[in-house]
Parts: sequence; C-alpha cells; structure tokens
Amino acid sequence: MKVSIFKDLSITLSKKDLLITLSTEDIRQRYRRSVLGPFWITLSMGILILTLGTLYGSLFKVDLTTYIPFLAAGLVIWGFISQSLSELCLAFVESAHYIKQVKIPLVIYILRILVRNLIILFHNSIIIVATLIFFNAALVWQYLLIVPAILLLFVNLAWVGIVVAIVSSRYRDVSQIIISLLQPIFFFTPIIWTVDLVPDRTYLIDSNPFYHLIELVRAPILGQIPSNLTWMVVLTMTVLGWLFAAYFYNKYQHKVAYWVI
Amino acid sequence: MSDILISNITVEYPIYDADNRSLKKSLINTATGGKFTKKGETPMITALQNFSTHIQHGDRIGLTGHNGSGKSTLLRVIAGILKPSKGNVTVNGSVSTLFDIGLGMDDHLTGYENIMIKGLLLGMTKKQILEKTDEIVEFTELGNFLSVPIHTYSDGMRLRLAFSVSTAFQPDILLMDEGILAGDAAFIEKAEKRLDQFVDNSSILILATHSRDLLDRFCHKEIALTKGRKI
Repeated sequence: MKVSIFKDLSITLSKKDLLITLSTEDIRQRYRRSVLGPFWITLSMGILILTLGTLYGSLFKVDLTTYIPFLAAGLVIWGFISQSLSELCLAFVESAHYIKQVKIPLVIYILRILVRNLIILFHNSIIIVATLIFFNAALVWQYLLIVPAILLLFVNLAWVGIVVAIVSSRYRDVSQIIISLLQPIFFFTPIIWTVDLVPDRTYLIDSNPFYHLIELVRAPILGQIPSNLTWMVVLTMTVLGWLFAAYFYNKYQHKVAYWVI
Repeated sequence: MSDILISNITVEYPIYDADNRSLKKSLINTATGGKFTKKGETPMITALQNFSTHIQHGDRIGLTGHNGSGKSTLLRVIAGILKPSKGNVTVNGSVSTLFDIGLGMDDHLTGYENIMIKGLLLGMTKKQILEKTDEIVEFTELGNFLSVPIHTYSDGMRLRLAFSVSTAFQPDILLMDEGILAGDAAFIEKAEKRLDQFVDNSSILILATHSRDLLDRFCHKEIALTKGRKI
C-alpha cells in the first residue's frame, strides 16, 4: 500500500514557510485592531481562572495553592484541545476556495489550524506560569516532560483532525455533532474537579482518553510524573490513531475536492 | 521537456442535496431499510467522458466549448486538483494555475503581506518572493498603498496586485482561465504585454476561453469540448 499521508506530510514540511505564514497571519488578522492583540484571549482566560478558582475552590473546600494551578493548567490545555477540534472539523470545508484552485497537500490545512492554536496555547501558558510563581512552585526536573507531552498531544490532535475533517467535508452535520459533544466531555473530564473527589469511580476517569491527554501535559506542569497508564494510553492512541488516519487519508483524500466543490 | 499525457479519463461530480449531506439522515435511511425513503445512489454529473489527449512541449492550447462542457474540469485534472474516476494522467513539469486571480488575497492584510501569501501559495519559497518583491511592487504601480490593508483598494487595484504576483513566477506549464483577463482598461495593455512574455517563457500553455481574440492571440491549437468529449 502506498502511504500517501507521509509523503504529503513531508511535502508540507518542505512548505513550512507557507504553513507558518498562514498560521501567524490568522492570528495577526484576528487581533489586528486591538491594543492587547492575542493577549485578549489570555486576559479573558486569566479572569475565568481567577473567578472559577476562588468559586470552586471554596465549593469543593480544597487548598487554593494546589487547586488554582491545577485549574489553570487544565483549562488552558482543554482550551487548546476543544478549540482545535472544533476548528479542525471545518478544516477542508473552509479551505474549499484553496482546495479547488491549487494543488497543495490537504494536511497543510490541518496543520495550519493546529499551529495557530499552539501559538495561542503558548500565549495562554503565561497564566500557568503566573499562578506557579504566585504560589511559589519549586523548579523541578519534571517540567522537562512538558515538551514531549505537548508534542504527543499535538500529534494526536493531528490524526483526529485528519479523520474528522474528511468526514465533515462529506457529512456537513458532523461538525455540529462534535462541537455539541465537547461541552459534556468538558464536565466529564477532571478539569474543574480533581480525581481524588471521586475515589470510587476511577474507571470513569481511566477510560476517558481526554483525561489522559490532559493529564499527560498537566502532571509535569504541576511537578508530577504522568502515571504509566496515561503514557500507555496516549502512546497506544498515537500509534493506532495514525495507522487509522493513514488508511483513511489514503482512501478518501482524492474525494475531498469533489466533496467541498 | 514538459508534456502532459491524458488517457481515457472520466470525471464525474457527485451531486449532494441536504439529505445525503447529513450523517444523521443517512443513518436513519439505513435503519429504516429504505421502504419510504428510497436510498438510491448519489446522482452524478459526467464532466469529462473517455477523454484522451497528448500535449507536448511548446504547445499553446486553447480549450473551447460551452459553459459546462468540461473546460475547467480538464484544467483541474491537469493541475492534480481532481482525480479522475477512470483513466490516467501523467504530467511532467511544474504546473501553475491562474483560475481565480483573487486566490489567497486577504482583505485584512496589507499589500505586502498578500504578496507573500500569494507567492507561497504559488509554490515559491520566502526567499524567492523577497527577491522578486521589488519587481512586483514596481509592476503594480501601487506605491505606498501596499502598506495598508487591501480592503481599502478599488477592484482595479486588487487586480493589479493579484496579477502582478501571479505572473511574477515562471512555471513550466501554465493553466489559465480567461476570467483573469477581465478588468481595468488602463492596466490591461500593460498586463497583456506581461502575459505575452509569461506565456512565451512557459513551455506549455492551456487557456480555457470563449473568446476568439484570446485564442488567436495566445494559442495555436484548439481543443473543442462538448459535453465532456472532444469534438
């Protein structure tokens, strides 16, 4: 079987100027006329964390010095995941104008969305750094794990993106279905509530792939090592997901131009 | 040497309506067994049928035919945008498409930023674009306007910008739709000269057109299409 996805990925990487320009222009365009620029989202995210942090902190009666950094990390990572997923659904539909006119590998439209959301993630991570400094977190080696963790998260969102973008260009209601699922997933995943609040229901958490994706990045931010289970789940998802996405892309990539026309 | 070999291709467009665009409705149709809702095949339009041709180095081809005869489809197949459902296409040489001059033009970005994005979309590297920028700027005659967002431009100014970038880089094979030649009379003469030169330097030109004038001017062969077949 000819695996066209890896060929397309390498073409896309050779067109990195185009990829980076498209992603950064997206961001610059969004904030062109505002003084704070991209930091608007950071500011609103910061306010959300501060208010939710004090509210839920007192509702759950937990220690704010650990709860607020936990919440900040969780919300920022979830913001990256949910925003990316909802934009990825429309990756091809909204690029129809390009797809109809120039021959560029389809994966570039996926990576464009992920890179632009990664830039926003970096902006927002200022909030996490600020809370860590405010609560006097110690500098630990576990922080080094953040880099491979974010990389794995990115790679997983990429294969999911390829699949959902193809499906949603054929069936236009899929993006609405996925977007409406994001809200319940958010409440179901330990982001505003912590795992130790439900000691008797750990299977609900352990079987949630979103928990593992978030925990992989969040644990090192909070100075912990992600559990073996989390590593195993994420690595398995990465391998199986990419195998599936490669097969799916191979099968349907040539149909996308017909579907979005 | 560039050449294009097309053997026996058929291109069909699926036609979707609201029902078969929806996953929910498709699933319901499967579940109900199609008693009341006849779940037939998606209707198809055949845009090209068993079409073959061999285009060689140096050819200047005019594609003619009525609306819907398959001209644009053929250009898209050669560009690699559409994969035919049957048959084979082999293209040797770098291909550039000039279908819609507005491609990659973003209203909120400045003229300079648009030059960069459009150049990158045409397959150039950042370095190549920076080298060509002065030449592009000069050709547009837009001066200081290039530093402001292009939503402040008139239609004529946009065309100048888009045209200048699109023709700044030389491909082997140029695929062009006549639509891009419409516009600003003052600019058109200058544009035509540039296009002459552009066409002269590319090894294959394929122009989809309705106009005899353009055909006589740029092409020396004609492929007339009707209902997706060669006449």
